[in-house]
Amino acid sequence: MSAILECRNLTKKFGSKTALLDANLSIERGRIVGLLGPNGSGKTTLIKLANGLLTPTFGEILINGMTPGVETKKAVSYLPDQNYLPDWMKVEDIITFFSDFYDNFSSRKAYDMLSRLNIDKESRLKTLSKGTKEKVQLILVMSREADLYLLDEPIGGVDPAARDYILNTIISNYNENATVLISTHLIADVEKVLDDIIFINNGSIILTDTVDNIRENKGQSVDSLFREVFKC
Amino acid sequence: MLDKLLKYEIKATSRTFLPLYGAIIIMSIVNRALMVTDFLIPQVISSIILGVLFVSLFAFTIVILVQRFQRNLLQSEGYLMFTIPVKPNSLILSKMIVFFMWGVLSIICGIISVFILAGNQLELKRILSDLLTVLSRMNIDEYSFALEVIVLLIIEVAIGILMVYASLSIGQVFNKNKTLISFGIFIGIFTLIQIFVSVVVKAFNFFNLEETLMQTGDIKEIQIITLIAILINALIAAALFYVTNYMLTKKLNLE
Repeated sequence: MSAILECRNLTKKFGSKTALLDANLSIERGRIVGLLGPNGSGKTTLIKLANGLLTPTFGEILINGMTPGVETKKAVSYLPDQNYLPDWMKVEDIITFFSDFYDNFSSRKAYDMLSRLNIDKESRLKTLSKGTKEKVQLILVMSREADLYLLDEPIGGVDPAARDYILNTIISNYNENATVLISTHLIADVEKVLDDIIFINNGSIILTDTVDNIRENKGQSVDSLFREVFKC
Repeated sequence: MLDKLLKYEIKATSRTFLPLYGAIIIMSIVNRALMVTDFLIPQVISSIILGVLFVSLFAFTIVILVQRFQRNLLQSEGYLMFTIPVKPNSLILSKMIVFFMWGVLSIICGIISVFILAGNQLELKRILSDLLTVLSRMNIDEYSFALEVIVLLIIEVAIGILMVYASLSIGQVFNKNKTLISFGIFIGIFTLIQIFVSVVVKAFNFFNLEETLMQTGDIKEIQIITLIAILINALIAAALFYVTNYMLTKKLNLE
């Protein structure tokens, strides 16, 4: 089967600043992949390019063999690294919004997760704390039956207990053929769920490997390898 | 998908317009009630409030035109709107249609307010019957001319809206000072359209409307001129729509 996400010579510049340089990448189906790198390494730029929120300066990015557009948006479930929901809406309004626009969204799943996390569906998004908003966003994203989940810093703003719940949600909520790409620098927390890793620095992809390979051949955890590679 | 976009756009904007309409109607009734009394100071205060409400209605309309496009599409909410599986042209269209809807409703709200204030001095029945009499006396040429004028008016408003959308969508490409650059682009587009129109008018030697009217008084001739004006304006509106759609499809640069 073809790759779910593919980058060919992908380059993105903002003025004179290069955010991503000549990235070549192929991500297979049914994997949980960590996109790992320090702040400002190009993780978010790559994910935004995959969603069509940015357009490449050079090269191309393909999802299911297609450039970002209406068809790829049906297949991709994306968690941005910031608040992106209209804050005048109630939690239940945004759930209706998602089920209106995404055929593969399950309201039942979303309401189940909301009650597990004790989030009131009547609350206005404006009144929720930063961490609770992040949980709502993740619930929306994981309630979709997508081919590719692009999660940008999914655990950045929540407490360690909620982190475990979120990671469990991620691994228990996707089907075998779907791929999850998690961008983060909190490696120790996500390491146990990852199949593959991509190391990215200064806009260049410097390493792609499976977690098993790193453990067996290098005798290291991903966390210690990351600390070695990105030593300041 | 357009229907669903319309639904959410109406939901998002009605939070501003409906309370304003409500306040205007209530203040009109209050004004009317005070008119028959001798309370001078409350009369003055309530009429000032009503005036402020009308000015805010106008101001909010402009602010919301800019804000709904900029905030909902080009800032953080854009992450949501550009990752749902809809084409950018549906996003643009939904915002335009809803804006038109509020424009018409605002005019209706203003008319209702005038009728309330005028009380029994303005007889709704008589005005309507007068209007019907005028309409029944019009011939087919006059009807089609009236229709042309309405179409022309709608296209003119569309151009105004699309000028704002086009300049915001060009401005978002830049990495800094997006709003300021968008404002500059707006003035640029405005100037370009003025130049374009005056060149076209010169090129066709677009007969002096007034002279034609005075000399011949022939409605057919005026109709033809209006028709050409519609075509030229439609061309400008289509170009602006194309530019906006192109920028949002091929040059999106969300921060």
